[in-house]
Amino acid sequence: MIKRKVCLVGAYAVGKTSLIRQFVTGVFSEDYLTTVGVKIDKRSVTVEGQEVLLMIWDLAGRDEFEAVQKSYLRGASGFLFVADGTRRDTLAEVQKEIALIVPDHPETPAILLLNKCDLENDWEVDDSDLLSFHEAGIETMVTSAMTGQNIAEAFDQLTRLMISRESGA
Amino acid sequence: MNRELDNSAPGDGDELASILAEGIRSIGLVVLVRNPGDGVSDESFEIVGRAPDWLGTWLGAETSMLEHSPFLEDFVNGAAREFWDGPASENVLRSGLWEESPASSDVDETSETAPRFFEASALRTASGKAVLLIEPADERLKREQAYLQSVHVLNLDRRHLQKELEKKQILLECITHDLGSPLANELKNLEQIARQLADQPQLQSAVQRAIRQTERQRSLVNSIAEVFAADMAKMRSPNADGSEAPDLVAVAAEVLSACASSAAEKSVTLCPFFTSPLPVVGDKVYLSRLIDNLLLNAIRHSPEGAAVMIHFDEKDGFAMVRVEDEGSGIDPEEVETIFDPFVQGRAGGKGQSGLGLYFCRRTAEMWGGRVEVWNRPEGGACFELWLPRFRAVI
Repeated sequence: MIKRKVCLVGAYAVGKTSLIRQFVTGVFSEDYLTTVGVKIDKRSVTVEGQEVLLMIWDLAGRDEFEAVQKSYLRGASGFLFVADGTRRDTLAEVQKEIALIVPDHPETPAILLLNKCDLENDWEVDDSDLLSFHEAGIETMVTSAMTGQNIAEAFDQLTRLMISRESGA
Repeated sequence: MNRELDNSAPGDGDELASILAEGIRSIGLVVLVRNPGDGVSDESFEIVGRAPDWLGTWLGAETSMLEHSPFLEDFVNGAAREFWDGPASENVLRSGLWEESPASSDVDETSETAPRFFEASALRTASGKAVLLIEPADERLKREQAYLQSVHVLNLDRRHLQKELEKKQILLECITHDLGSPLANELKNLEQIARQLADQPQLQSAVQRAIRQTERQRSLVNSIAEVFAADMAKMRSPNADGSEAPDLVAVAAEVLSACASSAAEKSVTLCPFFTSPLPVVGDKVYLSRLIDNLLLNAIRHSPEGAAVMIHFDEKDGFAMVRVEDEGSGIDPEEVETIFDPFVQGRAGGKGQSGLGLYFCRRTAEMWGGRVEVWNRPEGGACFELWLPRFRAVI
């Protein structure tokens, strides 16, 4: 089994910790507790016959006071950028992070997750908001940490991209 | 490998590490020293002094810390290694806080299982030895988390409020444009028709009734729009844009003057007892509307020939205007609900929207004030509007 580091990056309260908790333990809580520092969880996935132990780094959400510490991203094999689909401004935060991170990790696969898709009535993001991400080659997926929708699929897809990149496919 | 301080060799690096270890042992730090040129692994560090009890529980044996903690391993082999091996620039490199679960091999039924937080720091001695400090950071975590949590929750709440206000703004626009504008046109057309029917009094009378009904509808629409407008940003922070704080007494005087004709129609006497100026928190236009609502309410419920008294006062940082009438007073059952929307009170409100007093309460509360009501012992109702005194920031 190979081990790979995956970092979740995004604004505060977009649901990064909840996504990881849902993926790793299958549990969801409505309570919001802001993440401070770093927490690392593990879960293995099997993609294309390859078992991969994902070391999932939950990084404190960016806010106006602090960007993600670049040293935390060292050695990352993949990024999950997370935005809250009910807060369009969190997409702008992701764009800022991408501008800071991608130049240092140009070949590292990344997926943008639009989380909280269970809150349909409050949804603020439409296709036109995602154009710049698509143009930058970043795949987008709609997820819900509450229902679990697309979470395993997102990690699987990122792992697939990581393996594919490493194998030079 | 543990090394007791007393047995350490007296080199400059050892000495510094020893001093560091001695000085910080009491607060539960682990100090590890690595010789220059050594690789970076669990074996390349030596603990200076005695390992604290938490080390084994949370990070495993000192020979397997990096294996147990991916974060520490990442820090030591990444940023810290660059710091130790690179040119001397900073004195210390901090890892930032990280969460650690108990090392599985050390956990039994009596062990702590809740995660704990740590922070590592990389330092370098004068002789080039690498020093790694690890300290528990639960207290710091709690402080930072409490602060960030409150900031984030406040930001989320503010955003939620803004969204709600936007929805109300949209509703307000719908009311104003989709309901109000057609009524205004309808009214103009009816007035035009009424003029054309000068020689047909029966029809003209019907049109006049339609005009009155339309005017009432328009009045209701305006009242609803006014209530929703009370939620707008200016209402929430009335003097934040530097606008002048209104003088409660002066504004009331202007409103009294404007209401004079309404009072005269009912032979009601307005009796103001003016005081010196009372600048209050609020917006002049809306304050006028607020006092206007209270005064017209008093006039409307006053019997012919009665008096409406207006008093001013101040207490505990608040200014007050009191409007007393000599009407039938308020039904005791309605005292609790008279400021609720669409409550008409006092004999059905006589064709009013039931939003005027609701607007008063909402506006006063948004400015940090309040509206109170009670029945006077001698008969009639008494409304008091209390608003915070405006204090200029010097």
